[in-house]
This record gives sequence, structure tokens and C-alpha cells, in this order.
Amino acid sequence: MTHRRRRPRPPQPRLAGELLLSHLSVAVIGLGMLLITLASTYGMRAQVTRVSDEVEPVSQASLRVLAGVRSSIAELGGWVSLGEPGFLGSWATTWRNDIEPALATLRRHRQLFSRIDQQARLDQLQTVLADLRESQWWVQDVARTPGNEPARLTYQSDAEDIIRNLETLFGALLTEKPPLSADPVHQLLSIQFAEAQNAFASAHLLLREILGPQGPTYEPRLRQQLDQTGRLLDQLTRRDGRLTAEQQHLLALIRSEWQAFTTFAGDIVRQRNAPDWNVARRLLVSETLPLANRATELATALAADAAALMDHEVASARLATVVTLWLLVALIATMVLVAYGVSRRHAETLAQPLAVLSEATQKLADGKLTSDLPVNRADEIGDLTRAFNSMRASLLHAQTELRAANVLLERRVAERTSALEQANRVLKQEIVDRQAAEIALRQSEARLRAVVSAVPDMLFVLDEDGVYQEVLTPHHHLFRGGAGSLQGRRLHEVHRAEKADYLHNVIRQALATQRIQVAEYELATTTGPRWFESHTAPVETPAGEPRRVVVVARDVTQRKAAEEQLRQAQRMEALGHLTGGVAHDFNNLLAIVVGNLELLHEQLAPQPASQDLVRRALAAAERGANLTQRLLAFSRKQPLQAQPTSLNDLVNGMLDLLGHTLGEHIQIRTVLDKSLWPALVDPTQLESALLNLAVNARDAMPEGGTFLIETANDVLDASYVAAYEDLRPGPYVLLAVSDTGVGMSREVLEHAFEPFYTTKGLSKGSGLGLSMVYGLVKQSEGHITLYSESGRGTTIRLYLPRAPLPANVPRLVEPPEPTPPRGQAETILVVEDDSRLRKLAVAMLASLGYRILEAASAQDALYLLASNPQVALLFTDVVLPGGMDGAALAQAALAQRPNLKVLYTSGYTEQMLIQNGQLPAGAELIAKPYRKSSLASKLREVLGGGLPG
Amino acid sequence: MHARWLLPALLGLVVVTVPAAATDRRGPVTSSQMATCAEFLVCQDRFNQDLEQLRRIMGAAKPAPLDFGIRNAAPHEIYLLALTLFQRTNQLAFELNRVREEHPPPPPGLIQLEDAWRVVLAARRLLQNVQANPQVAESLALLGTATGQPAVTPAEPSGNEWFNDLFNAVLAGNRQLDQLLVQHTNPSDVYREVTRAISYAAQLLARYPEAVRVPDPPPFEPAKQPLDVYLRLLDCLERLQRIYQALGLDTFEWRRQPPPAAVEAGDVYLLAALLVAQLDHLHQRLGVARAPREAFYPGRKFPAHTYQRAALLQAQLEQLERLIKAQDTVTRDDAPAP
Repeated sequence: MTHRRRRPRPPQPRLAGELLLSHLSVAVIGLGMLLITLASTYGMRAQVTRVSDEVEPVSQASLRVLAGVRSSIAELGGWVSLGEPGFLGSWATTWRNDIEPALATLRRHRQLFSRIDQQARLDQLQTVLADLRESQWWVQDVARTPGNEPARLTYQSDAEDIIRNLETLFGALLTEKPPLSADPVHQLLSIQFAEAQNAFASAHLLLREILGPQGPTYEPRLRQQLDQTGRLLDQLTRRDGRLTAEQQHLLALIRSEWQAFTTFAGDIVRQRNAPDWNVARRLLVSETLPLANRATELATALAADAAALMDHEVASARLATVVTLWLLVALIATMVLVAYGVSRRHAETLAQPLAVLSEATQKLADGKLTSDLPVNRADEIGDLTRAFNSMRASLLHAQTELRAANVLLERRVAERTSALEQANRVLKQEIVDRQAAEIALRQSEARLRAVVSAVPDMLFVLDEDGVYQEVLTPHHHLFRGGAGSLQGRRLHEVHRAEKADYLHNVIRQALATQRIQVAEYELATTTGPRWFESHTAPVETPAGEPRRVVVVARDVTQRKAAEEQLRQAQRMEALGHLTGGVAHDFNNLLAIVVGNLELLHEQLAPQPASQDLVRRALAAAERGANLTQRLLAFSRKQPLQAQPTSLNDLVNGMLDLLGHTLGEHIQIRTVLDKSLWPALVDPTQLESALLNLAVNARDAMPEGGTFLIETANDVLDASYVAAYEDLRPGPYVLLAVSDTGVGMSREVLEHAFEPFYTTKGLSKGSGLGLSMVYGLVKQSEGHITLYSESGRGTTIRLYLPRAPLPANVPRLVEPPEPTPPRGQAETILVVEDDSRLRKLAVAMLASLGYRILEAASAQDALYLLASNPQVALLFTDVVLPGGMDGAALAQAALAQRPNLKVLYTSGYTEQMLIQNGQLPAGAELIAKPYRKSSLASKLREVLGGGLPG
Repeated sequence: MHARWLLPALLGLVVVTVPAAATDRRGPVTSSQMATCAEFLVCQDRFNQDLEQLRRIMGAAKPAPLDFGIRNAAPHEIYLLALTLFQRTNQLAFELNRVREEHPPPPPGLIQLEDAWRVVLAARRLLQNVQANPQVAESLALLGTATGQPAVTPAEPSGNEWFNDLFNAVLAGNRQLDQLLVQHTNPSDVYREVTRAISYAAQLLARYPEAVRVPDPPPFEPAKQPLDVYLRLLDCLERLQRIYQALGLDTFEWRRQPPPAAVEAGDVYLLAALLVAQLDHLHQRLGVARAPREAFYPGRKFPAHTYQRAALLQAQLEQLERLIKAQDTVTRDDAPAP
């Protein structure tokens, strides 16, 4: 068993104890000084706080009350004197913002007043202010009311009625003439009546003076006048026997009213003489102002109290500051002396052994210390010496080990440097390879972008969820904000639900079959609904990633429109053939029926009753024949006798007939070109056609309106006729017929020329009128256009071929068609809801050298205008869908861009538009259909570039 | 001065001069009081019958029945209505005969039922002067039932019901008279009476230092009818009843009635006057020394103006009720003995 050696207990460090005692003594002295300082400053702070928190606000509040009371009196005086409502507002504000908050402040510091025995004064002020406010309220309540001046009120409300009665009665008495008016007695009576009337008038005037500023001074004169008037009336009453019955009655009424007048006059005098003849002033002087003075006195006294209290508190605070300062000086001196003595003794004890250690350390650093230092002390200095000796030994050992480690480290650094150089070479090679690959990739992308920009179609990448992942033609203009705005959006967010479902289904089919899917559909775009043909191809994607497709969408609207137009023409052609065939056969049958009926009619001459039946059958057969003639006209199979015809003469010759047909409620107007070419047409059939058009116009204007006939020469150029299969370019004579009737919807327009199509009801129309006109024009190798808007009227243009001029008439040399003036790359915004017409305009403008933006509605046009500041001219149809027509669009556009040029176009004639007020005065318009050259000239005229030549 | 403005001033004078003890609620009805009451009622019925004749010949409308809801009316309340009756009759006499009489002086000391009766008798004399007007007399003669109607023998109700019937009869006479006047009671008169009530309420609030005596009025609301004012004043009356109860004072019995289809300005005026009378009574019971302020003709006012002013009164009474309940400074024991 080994006994563990007990470690000797370390000696108590004596030096630490001495140091601790020394520092503690200094700290105790400092703490004492701090406590004394705190106690002194606390008292000082309390006094300052009292001054700032209580006395100062009380002083301020007293002064605010004082100022507020004076202000309220001034404002009330203003209201009483001038009656300006602003004074009342200021008065209420003064109470609300000044006096009441100040009073609340005073009440909050009520305790302060108890210290100076002035609590009663505060209570008194509170009561006086309440009395004052109430008094002021009553003054302002009564000041501007009629009751404020009782005497004036009595005069206006009571006496004036009596006065009017008396004036009327005196007037009646004076005009009442007795039978013998020349009698001296009666003349005397008349004089006395006049005297009494004058006396009453004087009394009335004096009564009015009583109401004035010097009213009481007029009282003696009024009483004298009242007595005099009463005496005159008594005298008249005594002459009762000489008065007529009517005069007696009037005099009795006068006396009755006079009694009431004197009563009210007495009341008025009494009220005017009363001290409160002006209630508000009286109340203000006798009650409000004394209360205000009292409140002012109290507030002044409170302010003075607060000032005195403040002076007292300030003096106390100043004394406390001096005492605290001297106390601090004494304490600091004491502490400095004690601390100096204690610190000096301990510094001497510590300094000597530390100097020995310092010298040994310097030797050790220089390598000159060869032996340990002697240990002479048992305190911390001794411990420090021993530790120094141990450190010296350890240092020698560590120096030996450090040299060996240094050699090893240098070898390892050399090895690691070699490895890093090798890795760096490999990395540089990889970077060169990567840069080459990126260049190749950028070149590939540039090629792809070039390909995409060259393709007129729209290109999208969509995923299997129908989300636009990529838009390869982001600047395509058919979508608002560009096609780029579609990126990241779902099909259902962009298109209507059924359309989105359809497109999504196409994507699914492409992904399911892994084959290209071709689809055709109509979509809503910024330029209206458009047809697209799309090819949807699946894209190979790595496994695990969402499957995608590429969609190439091509705008085929124009192609669809052409197809539709062709279909319509074919339909009309087929209808013509069908109708013509049936009409021809039917006509032959009718010829047989009519012939036989005529024979039967002759044979039944002896039987009048039977003959009448045959005559009716003949009439019906003739109507049937007439119908077949119209059908033949539509099918262009009627025999025509085309001859040179002056349309102006034809129109003028029909005016009477048209007047009868249209009725009195429809006005006929004509605008006829004096230099009109002759037209090659059957005049009889044309008259019939014009009559048919008039009948249609009449039915379209049941409430009346205007029927306008215009003639003009026109030349249809190649660009225009290109859109029509059976139309040739050349000179034509135009006959335009317009009405201001109900117009036609788009659906009706599509079928308007079809035979038997009518909107008039079964008994009102055959549906053959327009068909006959159509057939006549087509058979005459002319051209017909129909333009109409629901509720706005209809214009029908008949382009009839110009007749060759007779040999003896000098032929007008047709000037060669001038080269249309070209544009200077200006940007034109075309607004047209009819996509075919819009396309035609766009094609014309593009060929003339303009840049074009197109819109199908006013709203889209405004959007394009706002985002394209380069637009120089707005070319808009007058009639537009969506509630904003061309004129309104132009107005809105000019509000945005005052320098914008505007050119209108319309199927209606200019005369029609001006008459209906649809266009502003001076507006520029080109009528549809327009030729390319006309459009070019008009544009240069409007844009200000001038016309060539 | 025209009755339109004289009447409110006069009523103000009367209610101020009525001694406090005179306005106390009556105790059990004695047989002597019942006899007086019955005779008074007969007199009032005759007065009302004469008015009915006048109404017919003057072609005036007959007012629809109206019940304020007050059930045990005190003599001073009947006296107040009798004074209004006298003033309206006086105005009728002036409009027809151009003659006006001085109003009866206020009775000294305690107001008894006889005092009210005397006032009604004075009014009846005025009415007889009106009936003597040649134009009126001629029409009455043609009608055949001018005066001298057989005395009405009332039924024999209980004591309290006598007083109620009498109160309602005088009220009916007042309302009929207003229909006969050229110058009807109008919203300005009601406005003025409500202003007077505000003055009374402000004096009562002056007892409490922290009170706002005349609060800010609520925002003005246009297009109000007399019925709106009437209902708001009824609310004031109900609140006043609660104040009486909180103070431990005897008070009238009030039963809320279904709101009438329509009321005239004259009806609203009577209710406002009644409210002033009750406030004056409270003044005297609490020993308020300061006299109320006189209210002056405010010019043309609409019911909407009066409605706004009645809201001010409502706010005052609400404040008064709250302060009384909070401080409870006046109790039944503290109240001066009748």
C-alpha cells in the first residue's frame, strides 16, 4: 500500500490581497462620492421636473385661457355685428382647440394649486368659463334671428298686414264716388278722406322711423300723428249720414284695422324702448362681457400664481446646484489623496523584482542567459521567477525540435507544387475545348433565329399541359403585347375554353401518335377573328422531362376569305341557273295558260259571269308572268334592249313617280354629275330597278327620311376588279342610291341579292326586287355593291358600263392613268372591321410604299396608336363595331396625338354622312370602293406631301 | 305681438311663476275634486262642441286622434294646456274680430284644477265673441245648431280617469283650434319651445362642474317630418321620467303608445310645451335659482332644424341622467318637501 503524497497547500498570495485592498478602498471612496452626487442631483432633478412638468404647463394653459377668452369674445362680436358664419366656426374652434384643452391642463395640475392655496380660484375659473360658454352660445343662437329685434319682428309679422289692409281700404274709399260727386258736401268729404289717408301714411312712416337707430326720439311725433289720424277718422264717422252705404262699410273696416294698427304701434314703441330691443347686444353687454372679464381676471391671476411658483422653484434648483458642486469638489480631493498614498506603497513593493525579471528576459532573448534566476520570494513574484526558469528550459528544447520540423516541411512543399502544376495544364486544355463548343452552339442558334425570322408563320413550343414554354416569334403582332406575351401562359388563359380544349387535344394527339398533326381553326386576335392552319410536331425530350411539341401556325384568313367569296359567287351562279331554268319553263307554261284563257274569254262573251271568272284567272296569270320576268332578270336571261342612256335624264324623268312611291314623309334629294357619260343599259329595266330600290327604301324608312340619288363617272382599275371574277377594268357610270332607313345586319347582307329572300313578311314583299336589280346589272356587264349598317341606312351603287360615244360627238380622250404618288415610308394605321376590305387596303398601301399597322376595332387601334408613336395617319372606316365609331376614334386619337392626320372611308356616300352628322365639318373622306390611284392621291393630299406634277 | 310668438313667451312666463309646490303630483282624488273635474269636463266638452260647429262652417279638417301616453296628469299640466287653449282662441278672435284680450294672470300659490277651469271659461267667452261675429253667426244660424247645445253628461269613471279624460279633452280642443287658425302653429314655434327646453336643461347641468351644458349639435339631417321630431321628443320625455325616478321624485305615468301615422306641427308643439313644463317642475324641485332664458323667434325653420335641436336636448338629458345616477347627490330625502 502506497501513501499518496499530500501536495503542499499553496501559500496565500499576499500581493493579490494587498492589491485588492488598495483598489477596494479607492472604489469605496468613489462609490460614496457617486451616491452623494446622485442624492444631490435627484433633489435638483425633482425641482426641475416640477418646473417643466407642472408649473410651466399651468402657466401656458392660463395664458391660453386668457387668449382664448379674448379671441372668443372678438369672434362672437364679429358674428353679432357682421353675421359672417366664419366667425362662428372660429368661435367654436377657439373653444375646442384653445380654451377647453387649456382648462383640462389646469384641472390635471389641480394638486399644484392646492400647494399654493389657489384651488378655489381654479374651481371659480371653471365655473365662470362654463357660464361664459353657455352665455356665448345663447348670444350666437339669437344674434341673427328675426327675434333678436322684437320691435322689427312685430312690425314685419303683424303690423305690415294691417298696413296693407289700411292702404287698400283708403284707396277704395277715395275711389268710391257718390252719385252726386259735384255736391260741395261730397267734395268736402273727399278732401277729408284724403287727409285721413295722408295722416295714416305719416303715422306709418313715423312708425318705421321708430325701428331705426334713433327710434325713441320719434316717439312723441308718432303719438301725435296717431292721435291726429284717430281724430280725423272720428270726424268722418260723425258724418255717417252723408256717406254712401259702401263708404260707411269701408269706413267701418278702416276703423277696425286702425284699432289693430294702434295696438301694434304701441307694442312696437314699447319693444323699441325696452333695454333689450336688440337681444344679442344686450346679452353680450350685460352678461357675456362681464363673464369674459371675470374669466380674464381669474386666468391672469392663475398665470401670475404659476409665474411666482416657477420663480420659487427655479431659485431652489439654483441653490441645490451650488451645494452639490462644492460637495463634489471636496470629495474628489479626498479620494485623490487617499488613492495616491496607497498606490505609491504598493508600486514600490512590486517594481524591484519586476525589474530583475525584465533584465533576465532581455538576456534570454539575446541568448546570453545561461543559468536560472534565484528564487527569493514566496509570493506571486517568486512564482513568476520559477515559471520564468521553466520557460527558459522549455524554450531551449523547442528550438531544437523546430529546426527538424522545418527541414521536413520544405520537402513536402516541393512535392505538392509539382502536382498542382500538372493539374493546371489539364484544366487549361478543358477550357479551350469548352470555348470551341460554345462558339459552335452560338452559330447554330443564329442560324435557327434566321430561319425563324424568315418564316412568316408563328412558332411556339408548348408542353403536354398546354403551357407556352417558348415563343420563337415573340414580336408577331397578332396578339396584344406581341406573341412574346404568351410565354408561360396556359392555353386556357389565352383562348376561350372550347378553343383551348381543341388545341390541347391536338397537342395530345401529336404526343400520343408521335406524328405531325395538322389543324385549322379560328382565333381572336388584335385585328379581329382570324383563321390559322397549324402543324403540331412532337419534340424528342430526355426521359423524365415534360414532353413538348413545336407548333407552326400560319395565318390563312385571306385564303379562307377568298374561298368564301368564291363559294358565294358559285352559290349565286347556281341560284341563277336554277332560277332561270325554272322561270323559263314556267314562263312557257304560263304562255300556254294565258293563250288558252284569252280564247276562252272570247268564247264566253255571252256569259258575263263566266267571262268575269276567266278575266280574273288571266290577271293572276299575268302577275305570274310578271314574277317570272323578274326571275329571268335575276338569272340574267331576260331580253335586254341595251342602248346609250343618260342616267341624269332617266332620274329626272322618274322624280314624280318616285315621289308618289316614297310618299310625302320621305324627302328625295339628287346629286347628279353634269358631265356624266351615257351608260349602256336597258332604260326600261333600269327604271324598274330604280323603282324597286325606292320601294325598298320606303319600307326601310317607316318614320320618314331621305332618299338620295347620285350619279358620277368612275373608272374601276385593275387592282379593284382583281377581287371580282366577272368584272373588267375600265370606265363606268355610277348610279348610287342611299336611304337613311333601318339598314341591314351582316346576315341579311349576305342573302340580300338572293331571290325570294325578304325581311318584310309574307304579304309585303316578293323578295325579288334586289335580285332583279342584281341580275340586270350583271347581265349589263356592270357591277353592284351594297353597303349597309344596322340602324344607319343603306347605299347601293350600280356601276354600269359606259356607252361608246357616237361618231359625231368629239370623243373625250381619256388621260392615261397617272402613276399613283408613292408614300415616303410613313406609317399608316388602317382601321377596318371587314377583314377582306382591310386586307385590300393594306395591300394597296404596302404597294404604295407605306408602312402599315392594322386593327379591326377602335379599341385595338387606340392600343396600337399608344404603342407606336411613328403613326402619321389614321385611315379608318366611319362605321366600326364595339360602340366607338370612326369619328369617336379620331377624336380620341387626336386627344392623344394632336398632329395626327385622319382620313375616313365609308361605303356610304359623302352626302349621306354629312347629312347624318356622322362626320365633323371639313373631315377628309374617300368613299368605298376606292381605286389605288385615288387612295394614293388622297393620302398625299392629307399627309401634306403634295401631288406629283 | 302675434300669438305665434306671444304664446311661447307667455307659457314660459307661466311655468316660471308657478310655485314649486303647485306642480306636485296629486294624491288620491277627493270627491270634491271629482265634482270639479266632472263640471270642468262638461264645460270643456261644450267648448269642443262649439269648436266642432265652427270647424264645419269654416271647412277645416278634423284632426286625427292623438295620445301622448300621459296617464295621471296633474292639475298644472292641465293648466298648461288650458293656457294654450286660451291663446289659440284669442288668436282666432283676433283673426276674425280684430280684438285681442289680455291673458289671465297666473294664480297665486298652489295651482288647482279650478285655475285651469277659469282659464277655459275665459277662452269660452272669447269663443262666444267669435260666434257672435256676423259672418260666423249667419253661417251658424243656417246650420241650425249654433249654440246652446244640451249639456253633456259624462260617464262616471274612476278618479284618475276623470283627470285623464279632462287632459285629453283640453288637448283635443287645442288641436282643433290650431286647425281653425290662419296662422297655424308651425315648426318655428316648436323650434323655439325646444330651445327653451335646452335652456332649462343647461341650467340643470350647471349643477355639475364637469358637465358640458350645451353640447355640440349632431350633423344636420334634411327632409325630416314633424313625426320624426315628435318621436325624438317622446324619447326626451321618457328620459326625463327616468331622471325623475333617479331623483326619487313623483312623476307622471307615461305609457309608450304606437307612433301615430302623422302629426301636425301643433301637436309637436304641445308635446314640447309639456316637456318644458316638466323641466320647469324639476328646476323648482331641485332649487335651481337661475331663471331659464327666453327663447326668441328664430325665423323660418323646418322640422329638420327642430329635429337637430331636439337631439341636442336629448344629449343634455342623457348627460344629466348619467351625472345624477353617478353622483346621486339628490335623493328622495334631500328633495325639498312639497
